[in-house]
Amino acid sequence: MGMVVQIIGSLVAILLLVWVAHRLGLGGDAHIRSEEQARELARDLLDDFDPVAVAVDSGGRAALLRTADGRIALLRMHGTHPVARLLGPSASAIVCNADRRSALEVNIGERRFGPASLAIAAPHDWKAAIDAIAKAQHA
Amino acid sequence: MPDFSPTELAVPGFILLVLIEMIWAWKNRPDAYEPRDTMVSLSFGLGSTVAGALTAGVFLALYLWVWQFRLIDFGAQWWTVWWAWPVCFVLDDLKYYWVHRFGHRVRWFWASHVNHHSSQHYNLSTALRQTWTGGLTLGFVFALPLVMLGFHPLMIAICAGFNLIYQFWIHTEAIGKLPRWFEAVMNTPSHHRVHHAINPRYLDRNFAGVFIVWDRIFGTFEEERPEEERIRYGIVKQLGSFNLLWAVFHEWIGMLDDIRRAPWRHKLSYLLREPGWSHDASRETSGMIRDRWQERRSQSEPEGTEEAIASERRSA
Repeated sequence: MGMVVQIIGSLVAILLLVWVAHRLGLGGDAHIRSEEQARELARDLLDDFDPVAVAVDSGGRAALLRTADGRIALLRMHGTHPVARLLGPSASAIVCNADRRSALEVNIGERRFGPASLAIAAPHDWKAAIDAIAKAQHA
Repeated sequence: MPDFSPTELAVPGFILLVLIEMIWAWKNRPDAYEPRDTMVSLSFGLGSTVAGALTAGVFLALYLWVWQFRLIDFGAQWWTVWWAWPVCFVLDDLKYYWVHRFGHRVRWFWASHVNHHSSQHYNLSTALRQTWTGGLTLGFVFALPLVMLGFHPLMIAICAGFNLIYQFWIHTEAIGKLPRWFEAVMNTPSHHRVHHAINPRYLDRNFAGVFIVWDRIFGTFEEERPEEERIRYGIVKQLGSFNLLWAVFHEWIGMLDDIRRAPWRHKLSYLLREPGWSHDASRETSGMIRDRWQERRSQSEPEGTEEAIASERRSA
């Protein structure tokens, strides 16, 4: 009985703290604001990754970055922090057209990570570059 | 005989301090908290209390059985031997250092301990982000020498409780560096920020619980250098998900999957070697990441710096 009361009390305390965090506006709305910021974040998050080409989603929620040797990283905001993944052979991309705008949907091959949708310029070029990684690895 | 849990008694204090830190964050660093991350961290704390309660009886029974064969007998009223308490506390902290170091260096242990590190935030709620699966590792073995020595399992449990309470307040970015004498001996927010960092220079450093001296003695100490680089928290491959169950079990699933796929002669290595190890060198361990960073650093910096880095390594 004591344990049940303790669990219920803890659940109430958890919900209260999360509510307070929410009410105080903590976390906020973090975005990738520029190509330069995306470059800096990728250098921070991925060891030995120096991008030469960058495409930032128009909403600032994600970015794609490519190094001179053809490696591609996906940067995606996760709450207030970015998460980076180097794309491997299981990555894929499709170009979607909605509301007369093109978006690139990138799937890194991790079920829990889910797809990332990026409204970027030249999505077909990025798709080709992502497809090339899968082809090179399978060759 | 003392019969209380220091951590249970401390819970109201934990809640109050989290609230105070949230107000600090609201005024100074709104990005220090993220409600969904807080929800996951605090749920970890609750789940770990339940998991601990379910397994505590088994471990207590084992320890009491071993205690029969103790080397030193503190008598029937062992709790009245006042000096045994501080000695037990210090030895338990030494035990914590090693079990914690194994938690980072053996993937079986890491599968459980990674839960405490998988938040990209570093705040007081992160302190409560405790594992649910500690009972599935061999962590309990590390307490056996203390039991064999003669410390009663309840005395060890109470000391471990106070150890955990001490570690609560060091999970914050709200406190900078403390006076030198304190930083020299005690684990502090600055030292523990290093421990939670994923910057190559900080990986697998500062394993201490209460006394940072263990890291200084065993060569795993690293100073925080905020003037040189910004700390990034979390794990090398960030979760990218606020799903609680995935956060609890992702490394167990990954490890078991690796064992299943690996050739027979490598299967055990995926259990016992360090996180990041792979039989085909397709991944990187923390040591490999740090070595590559050191190499790049020595190449990019002017002559003479290499000697400085070597001397830094010696002093760490």
